[in-house]
Amino acid sequence: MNYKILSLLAIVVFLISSCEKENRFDENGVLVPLTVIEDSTIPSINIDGILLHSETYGDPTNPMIVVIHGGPGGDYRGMLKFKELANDDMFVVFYDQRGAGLSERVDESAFGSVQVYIDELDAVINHYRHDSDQQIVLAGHSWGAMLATAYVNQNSNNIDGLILAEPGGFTWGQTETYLSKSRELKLFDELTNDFVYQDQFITGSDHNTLDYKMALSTAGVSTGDMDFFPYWRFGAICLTASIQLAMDNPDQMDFTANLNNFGTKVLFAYSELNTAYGLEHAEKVSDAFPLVQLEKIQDCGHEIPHFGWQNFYPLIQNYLIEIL
Amino acid sequence: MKNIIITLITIFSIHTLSAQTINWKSSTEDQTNLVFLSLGYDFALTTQFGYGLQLNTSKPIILTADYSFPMGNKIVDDFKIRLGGQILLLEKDSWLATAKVYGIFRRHQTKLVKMASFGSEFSAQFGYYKPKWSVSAEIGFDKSIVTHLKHSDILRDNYQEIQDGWFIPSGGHFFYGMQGSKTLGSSWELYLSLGATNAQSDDENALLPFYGRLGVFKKF
Repeated sequence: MNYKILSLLAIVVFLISSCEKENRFDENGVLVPLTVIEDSTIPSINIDGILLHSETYGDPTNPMIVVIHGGPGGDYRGMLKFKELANDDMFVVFYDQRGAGLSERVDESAFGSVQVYIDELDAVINHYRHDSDQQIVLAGHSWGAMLATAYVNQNSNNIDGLILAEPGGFTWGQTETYLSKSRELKLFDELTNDFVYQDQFITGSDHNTLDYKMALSTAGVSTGDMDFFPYWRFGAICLTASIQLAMDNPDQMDFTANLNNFGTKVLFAYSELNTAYGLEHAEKVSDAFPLVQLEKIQDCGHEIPHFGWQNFYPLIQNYLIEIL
Repeated sequence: MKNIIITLITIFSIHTLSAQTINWKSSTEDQTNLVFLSLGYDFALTTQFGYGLQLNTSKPIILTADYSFPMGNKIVDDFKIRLGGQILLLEKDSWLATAKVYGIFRRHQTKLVKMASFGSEFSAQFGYYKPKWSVSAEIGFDKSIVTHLKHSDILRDNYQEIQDGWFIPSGGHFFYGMQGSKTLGSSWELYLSLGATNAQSDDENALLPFYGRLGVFKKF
C-alpha cells in the first residue's frame, strides 16, 4: 500500500515533468525585447564590429550632445527627455552601450577593460561628428556620468561641456562608498528576499533568460524614486562582467588624474530624494573638477533624467547657453 | 541600477534547501509522528514547518508535508510546499543510507510578476547515526520543472509584447552538503545542515549559492 503511494507520487512528478512544451525562457522576444541583431528595423550603428542601438534628434550640424546611460547594463530609454534639446538647436545623440539595452549582446570577453567603454564612446562621437569644429557636450547619468568623466579625463580638449547626474564616484573607493549607502541590507525585508527568491524558479545561461531575470530584480528597487523608471532591456552579462572588471581592477576605476585640466564648467546634479547620495557625496565627487555648478534637483531620486526632468531641463538650457 | 550592483556585491548569507533527514536511530517504535520547525536560507531567509508520518512497513518510510516562506511583510505571496517522503534504503551497523523524493509547488510574487511552479526534489543521504547524534552527507537535485508567469501592468507597460503562460524548462539546482543532529531527551532532535548549490548545466548560479538550516523535530 505504501509503495503504491510512493509510486503514485513518482507518476505525478513524471507527468509534470513530461508536460507538453509551451514557451521557453530563452526564446527571442517572448520575455525581453529583440535587439538590433534580431530586428533590423531598430535604428543602429556599427561601432568596432558591434551593432549599437542608436538614434539622433535635431540638425546634425548643430552642437552635439551625447547622452550616456547608466548601469552598466542599463539603456537610454529613461533619458529620452533629453531629445527636447533638439528644439534648443542641439544635435542629440543616444546610444545603448555594448551588451545593453537593444544593442548587440556580447560575451564577457568584450568587457575586458574600462577602456572599451571609452573607446566605444569615442567611436560614437566620431561616427556622428559633422566636422572637427562641431562642439561636443557629454551628458551622463549614474554609470554614464562616470563614463563621461572617464572620457574627459583622457580627452579634455575634445569636450566643450559636461553634464553629470549622480555619478557613483570617480574612484572605486567613492563608488563603493555610494553603493554601500544606497542599498542597506535588511535580512528580514520583503524586497531583499524577493531579490534572491526567483533563483529557484529560473536558471539559464543565455542572454534572454539572464536579461529577463535582471529585469525582475529591479522590482521594488528604490533609490528615492517612488515609481519604476522606463527601460528597454537590461544587459545582465554586461552588468556582471563590468562589476567583476571593477572589483578585479579598481585602479581602472580612477578617472581623476587629468580632470584638473578640464577648464570648462561642469553641471553636476544630485537628487533631493536619493538620501544615499546627498550634498556631502556630491561635493566630494565633484571636487575633482576645477569649475563646478552643483545643483540639487528637487522632487526626484536617482533617476534625475526621467523623474527630475522638469527641474533639470531649465538648468541644462541655461548651462548650454553659458558654455556654447 | 546602482542598487542591483550593490546587492550583487553585498553577499551576506547562506543558502539552504530544506532537505533535513531524521535520525532513524533515535526513534522508538511508538514514535510514528513528527512535527518540525526550522529557520534557514532556501533561496531566501525562510521559516519552514511540517509534519511527518512513519509508515508501518518492512523498510522504514516517512511521508512528510512541509511549508516554507521567506521573511518579509507579506507572508503568503511567496512560499514553497513539498509533499513526499524518505525511505531508509540501507543499514549496516550505524551506517545508514536514505533516499528522499518530493513533489514541490512554489509561488513567488513581486510588483512585476507572479510565478507559480511545479517541480521535484530528489536526494540521497549517507551517514553515521547513533541514538543520540548523527552526522551525514547529502547530495540532491531540486528542479523547478514548469513555471507559469503572469506579468503586471508595470512590466507590460515597459514591454507590451511580453508573454504570460507556462514556461518549460525552468530552473534546477544540484545541492551538496552536510548535516548533523543531536537528540534531546526522548522526543526532541536538533539539527543543522550546511551546503552549497550549483545550477544545472552551464546555467548561472544562484546569487547566493549556499544553504544552511537550523531546526528541531518533535517525535510523538
